[in-house]
Amino acid sequence: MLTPGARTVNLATLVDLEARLAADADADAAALRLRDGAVFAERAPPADRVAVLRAWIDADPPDVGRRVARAHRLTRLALVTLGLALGWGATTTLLAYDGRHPVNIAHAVVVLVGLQIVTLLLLATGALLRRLLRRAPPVLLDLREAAAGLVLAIDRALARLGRAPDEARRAAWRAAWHRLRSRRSLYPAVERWLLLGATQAFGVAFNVGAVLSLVGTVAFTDVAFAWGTTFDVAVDALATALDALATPWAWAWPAAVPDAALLEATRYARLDAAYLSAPPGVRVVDAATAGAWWRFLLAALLTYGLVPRVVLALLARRGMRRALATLPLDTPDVDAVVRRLTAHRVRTQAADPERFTPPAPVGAPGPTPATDAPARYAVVLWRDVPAPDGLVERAVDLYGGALAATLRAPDYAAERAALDALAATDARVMLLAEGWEAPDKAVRRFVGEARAAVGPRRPLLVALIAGLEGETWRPAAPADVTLWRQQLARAEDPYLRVEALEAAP
Amino acid sequence: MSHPVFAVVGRVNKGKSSIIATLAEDPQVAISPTPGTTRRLTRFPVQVDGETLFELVDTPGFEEASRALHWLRSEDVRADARPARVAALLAAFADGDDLRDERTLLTPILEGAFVIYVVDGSRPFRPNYEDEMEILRWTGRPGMALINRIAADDHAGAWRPALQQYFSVVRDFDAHRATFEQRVGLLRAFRELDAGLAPALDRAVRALVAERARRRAEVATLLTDLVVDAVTLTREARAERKDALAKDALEADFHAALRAREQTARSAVAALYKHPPAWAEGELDRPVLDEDLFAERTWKGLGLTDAQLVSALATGGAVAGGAIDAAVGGASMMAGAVIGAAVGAVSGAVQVGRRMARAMRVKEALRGDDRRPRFRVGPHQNPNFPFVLLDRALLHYDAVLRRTHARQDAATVEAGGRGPTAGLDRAARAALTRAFADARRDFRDPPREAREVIHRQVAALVEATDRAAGGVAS
Repeated sequence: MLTPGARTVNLATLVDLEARLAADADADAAALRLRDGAVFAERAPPADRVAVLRAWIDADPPDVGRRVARAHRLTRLALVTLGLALGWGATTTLLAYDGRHPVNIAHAVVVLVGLQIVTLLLLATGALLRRLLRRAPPVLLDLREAAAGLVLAIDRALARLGRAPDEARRAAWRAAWHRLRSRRSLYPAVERWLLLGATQAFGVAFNVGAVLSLVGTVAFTDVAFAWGTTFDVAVDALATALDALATPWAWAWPAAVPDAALLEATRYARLDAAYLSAPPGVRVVDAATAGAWWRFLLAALLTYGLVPRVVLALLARRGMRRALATLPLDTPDVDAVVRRLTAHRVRTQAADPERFTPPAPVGAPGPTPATDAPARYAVVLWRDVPAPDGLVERAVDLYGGALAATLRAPDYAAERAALDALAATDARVMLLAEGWEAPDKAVRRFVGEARAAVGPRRPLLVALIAGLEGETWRPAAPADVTLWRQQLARAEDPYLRVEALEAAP
Repeated sequence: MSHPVFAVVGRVNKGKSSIIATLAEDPQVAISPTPGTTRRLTRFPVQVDGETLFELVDTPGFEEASRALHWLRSEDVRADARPARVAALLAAFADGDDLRDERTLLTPILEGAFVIYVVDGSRPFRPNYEDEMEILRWTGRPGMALINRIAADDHAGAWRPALQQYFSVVRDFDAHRATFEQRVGLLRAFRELDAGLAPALDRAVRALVAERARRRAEVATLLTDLVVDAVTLTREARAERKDALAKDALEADFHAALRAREQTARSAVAALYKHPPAWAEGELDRPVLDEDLFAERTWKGLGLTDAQLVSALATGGAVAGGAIDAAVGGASMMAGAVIGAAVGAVSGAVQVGRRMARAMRVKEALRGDDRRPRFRVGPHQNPNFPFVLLDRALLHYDAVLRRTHARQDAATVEAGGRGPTAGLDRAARAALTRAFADARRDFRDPPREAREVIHRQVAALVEATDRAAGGVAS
């Protein structure tokens, strides 16, 4: 977690970070060490993790973050424009008065105020549900899976028709989908505030447009309002209801609270084309009274429309900043980047060699800086993965860690015992498996159960080998690693990392 | 169960569906490295004259065998009660998604299917596979183990002793490389599971062998038609004498028609062996068949050698000349044969090396309203052209035979050295050369005898190709 006052990421930086991590996902580890070792070759890396990551991104900026941020701004601008136009247009339409029949104030209140109250209530309900369920409501999850299923069905249909994009592009889309899926849960707050900010920008603009249209109509034309109903409604009861609705502004603007007299005076009968209170042969008693509803409409629009939207927009902005400022940035792949950038560099090159000697690789992995204690690993040996003496310790050592426990899971019963042991330790988890075995339901289930046992944020590493070569192992084939990643992406676990166990040095 | 059913089972991604695709000759069986591609039972009935002799069932793979076995063993049961215990597993988890794959694959076995258990012999044996073998043993059904090969390594020696403890029959079967003979051999091996299986399986094997022979005969006809059509193909058009563009267009049209005719034959041959059209239309990634029909590289490697060609032409010429000698009662003192041989050889030598046909002006005794000269391209005069075409067709046929339906990548064809026709004996080469020449000469109505000679030789080449690819001789 970041300390208050530390440099924070913005949206563009976050997108760039994800893009760089995705690009490096299948890259050769040694090449990555060589590349990243050069970032702080001439200076010491800063202590602040965010500063380290920003330097890493700036060393080779993918540019996608800037484009996404610009697209976001343009989208908001479009929403604001649309909101203004819709608010203005809707209000103008509702208040259109050609002199024949007055404007039905009920229509204007229902559309401009009632609908907004309903949307606010829905927003509040959604927020409450999310808080109670601690996740998105089930219907949203089902919709997401249905959408994914639809995309897959379309992909298969296109392939059958021979119209699918070429296999390389389809593979890239599948990889991007699996990556997005596995990292969704990392940024739920960012997504939420982003969405809220955009929708409230629209809402604010809509209400501004509506208010401007109302004020303009009232100021530059004569508008007559009325209400009517087929039911036998007591005016007093209606006045009481309106009183309740006008409670928020009654103390500051009493003139904007419709009373029984106004209600009596503005009840209208279309059959007679006249106000009910008007004498026979006269359409309206008092033109000023006929127009008096504008105060109520304006106050309601401001109270239930504009002000809540402005508050929510400000809340979204603040929430977004806070979400970005408090991003944990502690997933295994980010850890791996930080480790590469901050690891000690060992150089053995002579200053003036007598004969050519290849220099030691820059950025070769070394122990993690002394400020961090070495991570402890509980290693689970999945099924019959070969693990001769010393292999597990060497595997853990590759990650700069110490071995906390070796657990075996050759069958279902042993899995239960291993899960119990994992729940009882605070060590990171490494699952050692043979990559050529398909990532079947059993291992996917075990990974899910391990996550449930150790909590949502403990790093969980699936390290794959192809087999033994003498006393050491061969790293798993890239195609096998990709398959495991795709299958385990279903877990949508950003603290789960799948990689080939590198060849021991 | 009215006919035997064989359930092909095993862990995910061990080649079950590949084996089904190969045995059933069905390229549409879903095969993918993603585990869980097969999700439900798919039945492949083997029928002869409308009667189902036996059935293969493709099943989802074991994904949670250890968990399933753990449940089975959670109660002590005697050996005679174990099948019922397996049935109880299906009932216990019927509501829900748990152990769905295990329940699905065990269903046909509990209904009486024989077990065909597939493992990947290119991967090391691991003790955890005994969980699924044990589950299958609990069903009490007779079973056979197949050691498939997905990768290049060979660990079959480690698998066999383990498999032999659970299955009465253990065989190697490479789904991607199995020949027809090996496929038939496997079906015959199914008989070892139960004495009562022999009649149905024997009948099925006889039908498959007969079907193979029928296909071979059809291929011979297809290739004969191809060659005859190609050596008699012409294109004509009228053009001004100096209108080179029109002549170029005519020649281009002629060669395009030949290419299209070749492609039609290839599609028909692939379809005969139930390979997908997409593969038939040229997804071959080896040089010879990927080259254009008229590419220099194609002609360099295929057809007869120059020496063979000239020899065949000379022989043909000598035979023609000898016929004249015989007609004059030998008065010509065999001069006809000698001269014929020389003429044949020389004319052949002139044509050798000319891959592309040229448009020539056609002399006309009578002309209609269009007074422009008539040009014709074809028949293709190069005596090696039909041999090149035939070689390509036979190599393609060989690729079709060797390609099992389990392989869903691009086909590869090995074409070391020269093509099949270069291996013909001298008499056969000469006979074909004469027949091609006769057909070419009377291109509007090729002589039946020429066609029969061609068909006989082509049928022999097709049978030799099939035998070399592991087909059973008729």
